[in-house]
Amino acid sequence: MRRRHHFKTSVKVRVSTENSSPLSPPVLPPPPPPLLAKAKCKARLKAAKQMTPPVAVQASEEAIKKTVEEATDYMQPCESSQKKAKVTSTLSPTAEEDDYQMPKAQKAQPKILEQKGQEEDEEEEDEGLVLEQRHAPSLSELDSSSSLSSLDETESPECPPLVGGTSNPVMQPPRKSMSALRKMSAAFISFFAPEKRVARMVEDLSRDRRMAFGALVQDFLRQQRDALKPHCLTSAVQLLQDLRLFINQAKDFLLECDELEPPIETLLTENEKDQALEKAMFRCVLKPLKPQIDAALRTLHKQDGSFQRMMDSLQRAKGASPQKLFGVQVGVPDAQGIEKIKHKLTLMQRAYSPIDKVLLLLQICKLIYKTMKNKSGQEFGADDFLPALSYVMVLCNMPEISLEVEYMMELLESSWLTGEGGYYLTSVYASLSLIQSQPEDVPLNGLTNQARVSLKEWSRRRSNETTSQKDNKLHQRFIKVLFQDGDSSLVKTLMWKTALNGEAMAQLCAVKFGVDQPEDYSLYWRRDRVLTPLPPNAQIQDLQSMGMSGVPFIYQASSQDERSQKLNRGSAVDLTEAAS
Amino acid sequence: MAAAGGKTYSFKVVLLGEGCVGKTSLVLRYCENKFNDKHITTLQASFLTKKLNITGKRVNLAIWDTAGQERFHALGPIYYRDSNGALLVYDVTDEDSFQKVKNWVKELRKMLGNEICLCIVGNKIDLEKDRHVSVEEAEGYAESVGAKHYHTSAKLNKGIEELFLDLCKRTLFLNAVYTVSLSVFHNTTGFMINQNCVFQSATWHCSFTHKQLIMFSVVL
Repeated sequence: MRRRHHFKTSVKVRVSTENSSPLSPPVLPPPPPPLLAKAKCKARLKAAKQMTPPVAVQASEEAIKKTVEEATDYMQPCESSQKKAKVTSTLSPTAEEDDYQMPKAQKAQPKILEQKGQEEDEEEEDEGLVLEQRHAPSLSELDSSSSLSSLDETESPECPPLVGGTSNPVMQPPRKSMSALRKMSAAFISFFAPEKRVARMVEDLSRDRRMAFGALVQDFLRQQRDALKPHCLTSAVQLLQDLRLFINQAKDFLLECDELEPPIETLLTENEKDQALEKAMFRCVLKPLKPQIDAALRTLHKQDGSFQRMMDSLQRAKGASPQKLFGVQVGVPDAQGIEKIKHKLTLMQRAYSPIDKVLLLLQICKLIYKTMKNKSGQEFGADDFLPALSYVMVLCNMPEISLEVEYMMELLESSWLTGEGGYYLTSVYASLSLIQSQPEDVPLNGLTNQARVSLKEWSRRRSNETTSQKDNKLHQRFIKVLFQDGDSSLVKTLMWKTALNGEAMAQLCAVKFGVDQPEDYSLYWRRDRVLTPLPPNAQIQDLQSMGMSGVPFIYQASSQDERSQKLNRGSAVDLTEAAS
Repeated sequence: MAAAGGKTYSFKVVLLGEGCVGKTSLVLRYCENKFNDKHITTLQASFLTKKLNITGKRVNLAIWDTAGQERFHALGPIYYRDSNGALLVYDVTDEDSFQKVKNWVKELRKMLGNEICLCIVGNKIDLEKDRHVSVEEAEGYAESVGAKHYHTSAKLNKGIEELFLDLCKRTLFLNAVYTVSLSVFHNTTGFMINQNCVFQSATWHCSFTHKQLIMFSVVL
C-alpha cells in the first residue's frame, strides 16, 4: 500500500517535471551508460532548443561532449536530479509521516510505522530535513570541498546580463585552478540544477527594468547606493535590517507578480522554493551592493569604536595564554590548522550570501571538532567545544569576524537561525563576547551590558519580524500599474499602504506617470477579464481577498474605456467626479 | 491519518547545567538510540535534532547544548533566548550541581517568564548509593517553581525517552495555551488568562483539541 503511494507520487512528479522543463534530466531511471545518455540528452536538448537561448544550448552540448569522456562527472547531474525526486516524494503526507518517530507509548496504535527495515526512509529523512527546515546541512554532510554558490560561481558566458548598465562591481574571488573539463561539467550541472536555474531567472528578471520586478529591484539598488555613502550612514543594524526587509518584500512580490517564466512551481517543490528564492534574492540584492555594504559596515564599526575594542581584546587574550584562559582540555588545531581556518574566514568575508557564510562557518567548526577528536574517539558537547572555538578565534586574530557574525545574524532568515547554522553562529557570537569580556569582569556578569542590551533588541526584532511578516503583507503591498496613454504604455511598481484608498492610489499614479490632468484618468483593474474601474474607497485588503494578485492595474484616460467597457461607464464617471 | 495536513512544530530546547553532570551523554543517548545511529559517529553532540510525532502533531526538536563551566555562565542568555524549553541537569551525587540548577531557574524565570517549559533533571541515578540530593527536596523544589522533575541515567538509558517525550508534550501544550491566550487577548480586549494559573494548575496533557483549549482558557 505504501509502496503504491510512493509510486503514485513519483509518477506525478515525473510528469510535471517533463512537461514544464524539458531540460531537466529524467527523474526516475538510474544514470544510463554514457553513450546512451549522450543520445538521450541530445534528443532532449533538441526538443528544448526553441525554448532556450541558442548559446546556452551550445554550451551545454559541449559540456556533454566533454563529460561523456568522464563518466564520473556525468553522474553528477543525474545524482542531483534523483535527490530532487526523493525530496519531492517526502512531500506526500504519508511519506513524511514516516520520518517522525512515534513515542513508545503509542506504538500499540494502528497505522504506525515499523521501525525496522527502513533504511531507505532514513536516507530520505536526512535530505528532507535539510531542505524542509531550510536549515544548514548538518556538519556531517559538509566537507571542505562542498561548493558555495556565491564563491565559486563564475559569470558564465552562456548567459550575459540583460542590462549592462547596472554597474555591477563584483569582486571576483580568485578561483582555484580548475581544469577546462571540470569547468564545463560545472556549467553543465548548474545548467540543469533547478535551484540555480531559478537563481539565474530571478537575476535576469531583476536586471530588466521593463519588468515590474526588475524596476523594483533596480530602484532599490539605486536608492541603496546613495544610502550607503559614508555621510548617510546611521547604524549597522538599521542598514542590514533595511536590506532584509526589502528581500522579504521582493520575494513576496516576485511570487505574486507572475513574471517568472516558467513559473517557479514547475521547477521546484514547495519545500525547495523558499530556499531557492532566498538565494536568488541574495544574488540580485546583496551581490551588487557587496562592496558598498562592506565599506559601510567597516566605517560604522570603526566610528563607534567596536572594531578597535575587538582588536584590543583579541590581542589581550593572545597575550594571556588562551589555552589557560578558556580552560581548553581538548586537542586544538596546530599552526597549519589555524591557517586553514583563517583561509576559510577570508573566503567567508568574500561571500555575499549569508547562507554561504554560515556554511563556511560550519566547515570551520567541523575542522575544530576534528582536531578535538585527535586525543580520543569520544563525542564532544559544548563544554569542550566552546573553549576550543574561543581559542581558535583568538589565534586567528581577525577582528573582522564580528562584522561577519552581525551580517549573518541580521540577514539570515529565522528558520536558519534555529538550526545547526544558527547554533554555531550563536557559539561564535558567544565566544567573541567571552573574548571581549576578559579578564576584568569575568565572574557572573561577564556579558557586557552593551552585549546584553543589543542581544535583547536583536531577539525582539527578529521575533517581531517573523510574527509580523504575514501582517506586513496586509500593511503594504507592491502593485504593478500599467499606464496607457495613446500608443505608449509604461509599467511602474507602486507601493500600496493600508492607509491609502483607491482614490489616493489614482492620485499617486497621476504623480508617478506625470499626468497633467488627473481628472481625465482613472485606475482600472481586470476582474473576470472585464476592465473595471477601481472604486474610490477600495482598500488593498479588499482587493486581495477578491483574488487580485499579480494582475496589473491599468491607469488610463477615462474616455479610452468607453470602447472596451460600456457597462461600467457610469461608475467610471463617478470615480472621476469623486477624484476632482 | 489525522495529521496529514497538520502543521509541523519546531521547538528549541536548551541544555543547562554544570560541566560533568552528563548533559552531553544524556542527549547523545537520546538521539543515538533512534534513527540517527547511522550518522552518530560524525555528528557532534553540541547541537542535535530529533523528530517526534505526538498524537499526530509533528515536532522537530533542536537541542542546544551549552558550556557548563562557571567561566561561561554569563553566556547563558545568548544560548537560551527564544527557547521553548530548558533541561536543567544536575548530578544526583553532587549537591553543588543542584544549587547551580536553582540559579538557572531563577535566571530563566526572570528573563523569559513562564513562556518556557522547565525540566529539572537528576542524572546518574545509577549511582543511587552516592546520592546527595534527596528525591523529596528536588521534586518539592521543582513544583515550587512550576517545573517538572525527572530522574535519568544516561549510562543505563533510563528515563531519557520519557523525559523528552514529556517535554515535547508540555511544550506543545504551553504553545497552544499561549496561542489561545493571545487570541483571547486580541478578541476581547482587557481579558487575558492568568498565565501563572494556567501554568500551575494544568495537568500536562497534550490531547486537548483547539476547541477544548479555548473553553479551557475561558473557564480560567
